[in-house]
Amino acid sequence: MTSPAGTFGTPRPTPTIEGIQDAFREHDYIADRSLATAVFLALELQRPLLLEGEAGVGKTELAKVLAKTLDANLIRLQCYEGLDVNHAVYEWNYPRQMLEIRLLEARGEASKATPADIFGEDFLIKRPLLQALEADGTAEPPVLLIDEIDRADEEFEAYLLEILSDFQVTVPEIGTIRAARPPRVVLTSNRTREVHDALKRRCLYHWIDYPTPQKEYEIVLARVPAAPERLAREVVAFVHRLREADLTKVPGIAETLDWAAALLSMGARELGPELIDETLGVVLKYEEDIRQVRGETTRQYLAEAAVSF
Amino acid sequence: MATEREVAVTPKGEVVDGRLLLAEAVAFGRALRRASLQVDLGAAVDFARAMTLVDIGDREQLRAAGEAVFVRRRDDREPYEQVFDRFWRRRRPRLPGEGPRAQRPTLDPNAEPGDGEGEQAPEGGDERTLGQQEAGGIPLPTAGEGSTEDEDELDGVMIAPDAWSASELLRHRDFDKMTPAELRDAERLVDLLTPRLEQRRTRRYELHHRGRCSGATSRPAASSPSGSGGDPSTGRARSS
Repeated sequence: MTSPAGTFGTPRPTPTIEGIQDAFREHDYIADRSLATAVFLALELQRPLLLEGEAGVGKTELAKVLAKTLDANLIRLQCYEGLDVNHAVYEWNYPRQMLEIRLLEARGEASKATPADIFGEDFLIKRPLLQALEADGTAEPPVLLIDEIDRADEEFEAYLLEILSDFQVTVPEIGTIRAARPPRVVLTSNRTREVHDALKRRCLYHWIDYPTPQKEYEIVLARVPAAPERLAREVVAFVHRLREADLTKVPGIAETLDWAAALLSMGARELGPELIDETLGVVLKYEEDIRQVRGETTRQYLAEAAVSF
Repeated sequence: MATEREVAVTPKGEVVDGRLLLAEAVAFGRALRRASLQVDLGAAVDFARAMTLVDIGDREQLRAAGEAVFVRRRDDREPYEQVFDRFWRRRRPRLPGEGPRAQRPTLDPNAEPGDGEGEQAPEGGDERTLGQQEAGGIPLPTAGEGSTEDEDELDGVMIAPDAWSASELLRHRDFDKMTPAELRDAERLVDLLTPRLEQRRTRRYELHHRGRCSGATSRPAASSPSGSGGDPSTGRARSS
């Protein structure tokens, strides 16, 4: 709230698509027009935004930057197989309830106690979804990041549907908790399975692709500002060449940035075959991939990369 | 109240006929649905709302807005681009905020009978190409039957990539999406199929490993009880 740069300011004027692009850039996130448009519409139409794309293209990062830009809290729910309501919405603090009962007994008040004494808000453990609904109406609604929804079970997805359409949760012992202002929701998926259509229908959708070399070059300069331009250019060109190769796991932007930072810390000014071979583990995460690329292929890719960009 | 609902204001401050926007959005949604995207009316309504938020004179903004609303999986993106291209070329001169205002009255009477949703435009409007064909069966992106003067100018720019012949379309269409006429055609096509069953050689002509011989003599051992060394009498004698 103190820095007007990169935020929309407290008496928030309606953001524009360019405004979002600029604000994201302030936070070193380079978004192209179509992504900015999707974010803009999600904010304006108050719809969840479902982002899909390969690993490491900046889906999660977008939610973080959005929270910073809006000057809002980021509440993150990391999905995994077996995630259930207890871990996503709320859970009763059972040990504390037991202790409270003991205390009541010790004080001789057990006979007067009612269920309300141990099913109050004090005993409720609020998990991310409930936290997101609970924010008071005066502050900027939080950004709720539901990360890697494809990893969660389909049952949970169905439950999520309910929350995303009504923005309310019913806790039987307490009552219904409704969001004063619905949170901005960002869902991400790596597409390990198809997200159910009913959920997609409630969301705006954007597929984040690998960036163009030019855009990735900008990203590297923004995120690793100390990197010499030449090094950044060469790193990006080489990674792009790698993405065309038949690899088990193609490097994402995250790997490009790691690599640039690693090379920088080694004091490199430009790429060379030996240097690449030494640091290949930063870019490629599978032994077979490294073995495939190391050596002669490195030289070949380096030569081709120099031509392409 | 009625006027409030029917008027939309663009970011540039222009006042646009809301029904017109909605009709455009629904028509676009229809075209997308025919390109096998899963589009429901809700998405079309969203798109109509989105059109009031972005600069609809800007091709890239409108394209991105539609993409966010209509596209639901990665594979949808390519058909979306194609349909959008066509939509843009076709609708461009008539989009509100574009071109002379005088053009709008020629459109409005068309929107009236369909009322609000633009659900059906009975005869010869610009909805015809998009709305009518859905009911009429196979859409023919190339010069269809009975084109209005609207279509003629468009057919000039229509190009090949997404043009199919009627039977090609029929071949890939779901049965439950077919019209009765199409079902009849499909049935006729099915009747024309000559079943090619799998062929299997009879064992009778199989070459025996000891040379050509008839089935009967090739398997003498099968009838002999192997336990008794091929002598049929011994086995029976023992058992009795």
